[in-house]
Amino acid sequence: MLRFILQRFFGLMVTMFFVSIMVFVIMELPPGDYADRYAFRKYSGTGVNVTQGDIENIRRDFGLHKPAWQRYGDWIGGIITKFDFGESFAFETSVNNVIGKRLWLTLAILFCTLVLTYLLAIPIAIYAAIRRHSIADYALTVFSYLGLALPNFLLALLLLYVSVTIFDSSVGGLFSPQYEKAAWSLAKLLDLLKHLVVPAIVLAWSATALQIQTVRATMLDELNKLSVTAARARGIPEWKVLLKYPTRLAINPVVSTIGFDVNRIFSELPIVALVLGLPELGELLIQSYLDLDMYVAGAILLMLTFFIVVMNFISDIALAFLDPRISLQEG
Amino acid sequence: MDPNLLIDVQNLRVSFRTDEGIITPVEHVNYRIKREKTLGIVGESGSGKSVSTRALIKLLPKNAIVDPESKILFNRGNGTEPLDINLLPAGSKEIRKLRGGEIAMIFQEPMASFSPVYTIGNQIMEAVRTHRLSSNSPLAATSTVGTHISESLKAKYNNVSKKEARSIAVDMLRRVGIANADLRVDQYPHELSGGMRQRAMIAVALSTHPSILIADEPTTALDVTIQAQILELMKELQTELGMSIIFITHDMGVIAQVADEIAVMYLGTIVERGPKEAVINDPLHPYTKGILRAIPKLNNLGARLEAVGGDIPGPHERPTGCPFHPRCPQRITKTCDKLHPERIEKTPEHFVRCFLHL
Repeated sequence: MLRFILQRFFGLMVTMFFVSIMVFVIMELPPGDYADRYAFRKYSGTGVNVTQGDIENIRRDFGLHKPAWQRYGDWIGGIITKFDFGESFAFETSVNNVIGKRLWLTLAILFCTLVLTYLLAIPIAIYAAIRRHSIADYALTVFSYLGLALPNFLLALLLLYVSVTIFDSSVGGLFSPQYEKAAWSLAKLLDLLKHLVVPAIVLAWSATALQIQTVRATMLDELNKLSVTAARARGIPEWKVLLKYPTRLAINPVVSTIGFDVNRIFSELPIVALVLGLPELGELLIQSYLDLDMYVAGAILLMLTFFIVVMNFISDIALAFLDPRISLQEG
Repeated sequence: MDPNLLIDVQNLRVSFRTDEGIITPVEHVNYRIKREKTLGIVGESGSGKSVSTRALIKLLPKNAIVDPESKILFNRGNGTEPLDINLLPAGSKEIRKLRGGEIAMIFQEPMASFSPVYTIGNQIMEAVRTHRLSSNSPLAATSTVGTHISESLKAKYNNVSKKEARSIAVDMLRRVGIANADLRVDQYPHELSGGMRQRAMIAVALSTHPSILIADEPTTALDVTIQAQILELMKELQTELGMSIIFITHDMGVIAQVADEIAVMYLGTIVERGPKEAVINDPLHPYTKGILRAIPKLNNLGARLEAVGGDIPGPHERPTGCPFHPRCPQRITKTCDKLHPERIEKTPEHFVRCFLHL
C-alpha cells in the first residue's frame, strides 16, 4: 500500500511539473505584456511621447526583460522555496495578498459543495435503487434530471429571489454587513456558512443529479450479484446485507470521480459567483487576464489545477482502500 | 412426521409476476429429504431446479409467489411439531435463522458468490457470528431453531467473539482441505484458485453446522479433476457432520456418484423420483430414459450421441397436459396432451408422472 501511495505521489509531482509549464505558456500567450499596458495606462492622454526605450525600462523594472525560461525558473523557484507567487502589477502588492482570502473562500465553497453533493446523492441513490420502480424512485429521477437541465445561473437567480422575498435575507456575498470587517468568531463562522448554503445548493444540484444516476445504476448492478444472494442465504439481516455488500461497491464510482466533480465545480463557480456576488477566484482570473496581470492569473490557474490534481490523488488512494483488487494490480 | 425425514415438500407451486403476466415455472413438486442422505435433482436449465430449492429458504426474487397451499415441512427433531417454512414471512427472523443456520447453500460460481472486497475469513466469520453461539455457552449444543429458550437468556450468552469466530474459520478452511488456512483466511477471493474458492464456499456454508446443504450446481464451473475432489470432500463432510444434501446438477454422471435418491425435473415438475439404483437401472419416464441414453458411452465412442428430440418450450408456451408430451416419443394422443398425469408409486419409493405406467 505504501508503495502504491508513493507511486501515485510521484505521479502527482510529475503532473504538477507539466501543469506548471503549461500554465506558464498560457501566461505568455496573450499578445503584449504588462509593460505595454502600464505605459498605456500611465501616459495615455498626458501628451507624453513614450518611446520604445521607455517601455524597455519599464519592462526592466518589472523584471520582464529576462528570457522566458529564466522567468519560469524564478517564478516556480519562488513558489517552491518561499511559497511566493510573485508580484501583482495591477494591485501593486504581492500575489499572495491578492488571492489569499479569495482562495480560502473558494475552497470553502468547494468543500461545502462536495460534502453536500455526497451527503445527498449517496443515500438518495441507494434508496432509489432498493425501491426501484417505486413512486419515490421516479420522483427522485425527475428531481435529479431537473438539476441537470436547469442552468446554474438561473437556479442562482431563483434562489436569490426566493431568499430575499420569502426569507428576507440577502444571500449575496459571503458575509452579512455587520460581520464583513469583524474578527473571526463563532458568529462570523455561522454567518459564513449561512451564506455558503445557497452557492453550495446551486453548485451541488447538478453534481448530485449526476451522482444519483451513477450510484443508482451501480447499485442496481450490485444488487443482482450472486454475492448478495449468497449473503442473504447466510441469513444476514437485510439491512446489513445491503450496507455491507452492494453499497460499499456502489460508492466506488463516486470516489473515483471526485476529481471530475472538483473540475466541474471550478468551471461552474465563476458564473454562479457573479450572480451571487461572491469574491472568489474565477472572477479575479478573468480580471487579471484583462489587465495582463500575469502572475495573478498564473497563481490562480496553478492553484485550481493543483486542487484538481490533489483531489484526484486522494480519490486514487481512497479507492485503493475501498477496493483491495486495485492496489494488487499495481503491485 | 417420520423422524428420518428432514424436509417434506408437498405440492410446491411457485409463480412469478412478470410484465407479460403470471408465469408458473414450478408446479406439482413433491420431494423429501432424509436425514444424512443426498437428494440429487437433475434437469435441463430452466426446469425449475433452483427455484424449487430456493423456495426452502424463501430466497426468491420479490416478484415470486409461493402458493399458500404449498407445504414445506421442516422436521426439527426431538419430537417437536414440524415447522411449515411456507407459513413464515420472507423477511422474518425465523427465516433468517434457517438461512445459513439450518439450511445452507452453495452456488455454481464460487468467484461470484464471494464479495470481492472482503476477505474469505471475513465472510466465514460473518456467518459464524450470525448463527453460532459461543462454545462456552450452555446453549451452544442446542439447535437455534425451534428451541424454547427465552430471548433474554440468549442475549446473556452472546454469539461467538471475533477471536473465536476467526479460529472457527481457520479450522473450517483446514477441514475443507485448504493448506495454510491461517494465511488463506486473510486473503481475498481473487487470490484463490477456482477449486479453492469452491472449497472456501463450502467452508462458509458448513461453518454453522447446518442440517442440510443445498448445492446448486457446485461443480459445474470446475474442471473434472477438481470436480472429483470437491465431490469427494462433500461426501466426507456429510458423514463427518451428519447433514443432508440437495445436489442440483444437469450432469447425470455426477448425480450417479453423489445421490442416494434422484429427482428428475422437467419444465417445473418432478417427472420421476426414486432411489438412485432404481432410477438409473430401471427408468420409468420417457424423459429419464432419454437423458440416460444421451450419456456418451466409453465402449462406443464412435457412435453418434443420442439426444432427446425437440427443445424446451419457453415459459409462456407451456404445453397443456403432460409438459413433456410434445417431445415424447411414446405420447398417447388425446390423453397426454389433455390431462396432467398424477403421481404414481410404481415400486416402493419410486414415483413417476406418466400415463404409460397407469
